[in-house]
Amino acid sequence: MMRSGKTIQFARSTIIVLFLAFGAFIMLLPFYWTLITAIKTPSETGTFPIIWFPTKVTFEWYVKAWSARFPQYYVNSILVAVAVVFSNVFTSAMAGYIFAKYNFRFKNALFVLVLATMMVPFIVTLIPAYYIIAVWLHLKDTLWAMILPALISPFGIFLMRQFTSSLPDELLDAARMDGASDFRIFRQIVLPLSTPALSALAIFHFIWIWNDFLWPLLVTDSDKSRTLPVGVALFALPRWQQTNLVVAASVLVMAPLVIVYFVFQRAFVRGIVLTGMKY
Amino acid sequence: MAATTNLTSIRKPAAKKRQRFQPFVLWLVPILGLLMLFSVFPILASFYLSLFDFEMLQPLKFVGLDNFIYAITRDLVFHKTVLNTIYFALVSVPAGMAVSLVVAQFIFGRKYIQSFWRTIYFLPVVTPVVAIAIVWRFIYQPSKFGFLNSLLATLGMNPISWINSQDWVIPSLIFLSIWAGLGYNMVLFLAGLGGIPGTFYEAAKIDGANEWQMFWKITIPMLSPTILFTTITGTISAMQIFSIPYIMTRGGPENASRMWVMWIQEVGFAQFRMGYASSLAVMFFLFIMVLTFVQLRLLRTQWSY
Amino acid sequence: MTTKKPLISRREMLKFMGVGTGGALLVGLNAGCGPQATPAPTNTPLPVIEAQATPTVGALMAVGEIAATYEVGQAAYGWYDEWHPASQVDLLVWGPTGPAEDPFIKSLNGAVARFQVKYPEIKVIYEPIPGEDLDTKVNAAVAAKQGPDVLFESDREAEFPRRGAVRPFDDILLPDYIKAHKFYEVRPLPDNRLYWVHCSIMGPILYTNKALLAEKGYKPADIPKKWDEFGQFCKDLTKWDGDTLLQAGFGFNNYARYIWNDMMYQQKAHVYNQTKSFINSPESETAWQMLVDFYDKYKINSRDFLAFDQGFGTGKSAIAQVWTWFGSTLEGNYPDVDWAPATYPTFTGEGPYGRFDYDGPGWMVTTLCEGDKEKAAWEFFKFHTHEYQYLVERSHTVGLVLVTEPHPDYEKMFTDVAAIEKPTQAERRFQSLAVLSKQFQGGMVFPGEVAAPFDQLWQKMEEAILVNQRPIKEVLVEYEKEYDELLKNTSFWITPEA
Repeated sequence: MMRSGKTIQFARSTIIVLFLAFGAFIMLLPFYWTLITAIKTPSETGTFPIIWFPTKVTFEWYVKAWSARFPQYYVNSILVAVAVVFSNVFTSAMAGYIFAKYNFRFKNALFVLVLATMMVPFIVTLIPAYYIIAVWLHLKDTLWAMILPALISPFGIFLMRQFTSSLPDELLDAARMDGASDFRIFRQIVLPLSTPALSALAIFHFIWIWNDFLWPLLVTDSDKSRTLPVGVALFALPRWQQTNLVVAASVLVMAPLVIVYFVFQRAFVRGIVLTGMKY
Repeated sequence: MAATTNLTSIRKPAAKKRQRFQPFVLWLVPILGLLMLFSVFPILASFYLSLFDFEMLQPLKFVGLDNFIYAITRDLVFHKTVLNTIYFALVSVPAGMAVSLVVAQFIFGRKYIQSFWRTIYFLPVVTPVVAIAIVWRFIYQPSKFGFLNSLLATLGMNPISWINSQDWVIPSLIFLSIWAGLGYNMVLFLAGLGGIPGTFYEAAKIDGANEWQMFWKITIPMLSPTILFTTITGTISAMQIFSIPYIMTRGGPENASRMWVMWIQEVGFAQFRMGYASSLAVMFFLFIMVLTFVQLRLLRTQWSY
Repeated sequence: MTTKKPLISRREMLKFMGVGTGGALLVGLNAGCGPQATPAPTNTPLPVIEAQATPTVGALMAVGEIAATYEVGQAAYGWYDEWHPASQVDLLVWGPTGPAEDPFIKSLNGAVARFQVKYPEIKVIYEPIPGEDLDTKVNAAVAAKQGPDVLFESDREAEFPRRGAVRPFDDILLPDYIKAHKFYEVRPLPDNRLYWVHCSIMGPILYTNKALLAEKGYKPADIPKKWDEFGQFCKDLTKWDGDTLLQAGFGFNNYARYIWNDMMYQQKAHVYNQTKSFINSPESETAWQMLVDFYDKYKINSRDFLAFDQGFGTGKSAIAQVWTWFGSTLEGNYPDVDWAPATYPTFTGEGPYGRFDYDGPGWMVTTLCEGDKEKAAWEFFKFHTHEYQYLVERSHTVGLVLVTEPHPDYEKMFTDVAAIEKPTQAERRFQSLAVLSKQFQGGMVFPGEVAAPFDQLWQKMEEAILVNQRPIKEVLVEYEKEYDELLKNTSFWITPEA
């Protein structure tokens, strides 16, 4: 259309890419530091100025971290995370859908209650929650102790309610008119259309539960139920900690998250593309 | 024309009001029930405890509203933590959202290697807190050896004390939290952006709108549910900030970076005054509730949906 | 508040007391100074406590048997009447964390293994628990009445008996053994019962960078023993580039509060007692002033310089003051520094040198075990309190000096390593213990527990005075009030020396 418009477009494009690249550099720098510290020797760690390109490289920290029962911690973390994410996605979608598209008494009050549960500082819930898990339910030092309190997410319900409220009513009414049950509508229309939001939800919750430290520390006592973040904390000695070792262990904890993110990203994108095509 | 009609029909809430009870709604019972067990019970326990002077395994001593009165009138550290937390949240939430939105918009517009940008910007979210703390302590090191300070030195400027300075410690934390949280909001905005039909933009272009106008008149309003969501959840989580300042500054220098939840933790778990800590937590809870209501009112009227 | 300073005209500084009498004195004084509603009037002199003659390491050597090996040392310590359960008993033990190759963890694991050999009927289930959050876990365990049978001590261990988490044992076990071998008896509660015992001590010394000292032709022995001379001396070791500090003569950032604390004891002042603090005393002011002088008058450090550990570890501080656990940190994170220990300066050049802390065999029996489990737990406790090899290894691998009947060649062990120019890491650690041991003989103070709220308060004071550069007097007045408030609301274990 307009020749000069195209040059402006190009210039704008380049500026945007430069901006993104600069931002990416800032994002990546600490991450890069983490990766190289995990393979550095102590002599080149903690120096001023920071040594960005180590001369000697060692994988002993990874070996040390891994051999300290990490496979068991991985299994535990994966089991807990999968159970929690699965439950969160399903229940948030359902509850969000109900809050968005149905009317019933006390709907607003209940929703406010859900929001309210997000506003309690976790510090406060620690000991009472521990009491419930350990004393009433006798679930201490089991994976269930970490799964149960995390099965439902108010954050997820809130998010799904926002998202589902923008789904067109006509679609749902049409399906109902065709004789589909509520549950079928939920399963075959609402869920597929919500894929972008659900993928985002899955990613977030996976990361939160994977990196959760304080609660697992409290409820696990032994290796049979410990999760990865607690495993990392075990490398600290009473009065000091070895930086390289802790950083290497942290990388081992982080790695699966990056993979999970990558995988879910695709579902995310596909979901967006799908919804786009509907219009 | 077609664009505007579509807009209104999608943005209008459900017209019919069903009065008949839908059994499907009963699914909320187990879902909310489990939530209440682990959330409502502790809140109620805190409300109860806040009326006592409780020192863990000593007998409870009823003091009524004394804890609250003390906190409001005499606990100067508490006042400082409230101010610090509000300062932190007030700046980090809008700034974080603005940056995430801009980044999301930029990334969304790229046709190529989107997933590359998305992954990089999301990396900080994935990093465990302990690694973040170690790295940023290097970056914010107050001496001339610190990373940021050495950059300043090459620009010929004096080093700044960053986390060692009364004035700079909270801005340092703000920047750090924006860096760490960018990925979250970016993902949400990307999801929201994906839900905006491309036809709107095409129609607007035909009508002669430029990028800027499209951004403000189409993108932002269509993103309003997401914006509302990220504002509210962002504020709630910003007010609850704990681990980063705890690990990096322990609240220093001299209360300059002590946050509300940190003070609750110290009073309850380090000084073992659980009753007083509960009263601080109750006040926190009430404050957030009020804040959220205010936000809901304000933002809803801006963008009705 | 009151500007009248407490009169501390003539008070004997308390040296380390022999345990038996120390315990008795603790009893008498604790009974007398229970928490009071009103703070003690400030113009009454504090009670005079007679110092007990400290048995020096040398004196102990002369009295005990010469032991060249663990076996002989064990023979000198003796053993106890063992009880073995009739059927298998499981014992849940919560202990410190750390990598398996660490010498300290190895010594712990070794002792547990030897215990298992002696007691095949008791199965020890050892769970490492990260130290920082041990309190929360113990709190939760006690509240829920489910938890470990045996606990390892932490820095906040006095909290445990207060919360009813551990059992006292003075009526049950070992009174003669404890007194005979001079374990330090821990009676932290008003009930005056014995909750556990300590066998070794840790304290502050100077860490010096031999290379940086040698640059100016100095050796660690050249370091002056008085603070003002020390300040002068460090100027030589400081390098400035205009206004920026390149190398600190004495890098103490982020650790200054402990130096202030020691300086008060060095001036034979009290810092606090059960009901009142003396933050706003002339000794306190002198101490903070000296630290400020290090920045502004002697210019041997700067406020935004690296923290004490990073500075020394990266070779940018010539001298640092740290407690003797620091040797392990240097070995693990900064192995390139060629360091040597040196004696802590004081105002007079002689003791008292400052605060020390006790550490023990470390194991405590919890209130959560009953019946046979409890008896098995007591066996575990007795084993670790008697096993000579464990006591020695556990102390030396962490940076502690054994003060119960040590190896009679103890002193020799120190003199052997003192002259080594290029020591191994283990030898270097012994060198630092030698310095600490000498300081201990010259006099150091044990104030009881330094609870987390105190530490927090000290940290804030340090930041107020040193970082934010507020006027010293103003800060002291303000913080004395806060300290007194804290003392009023809580009941910590405080010895008369505090």
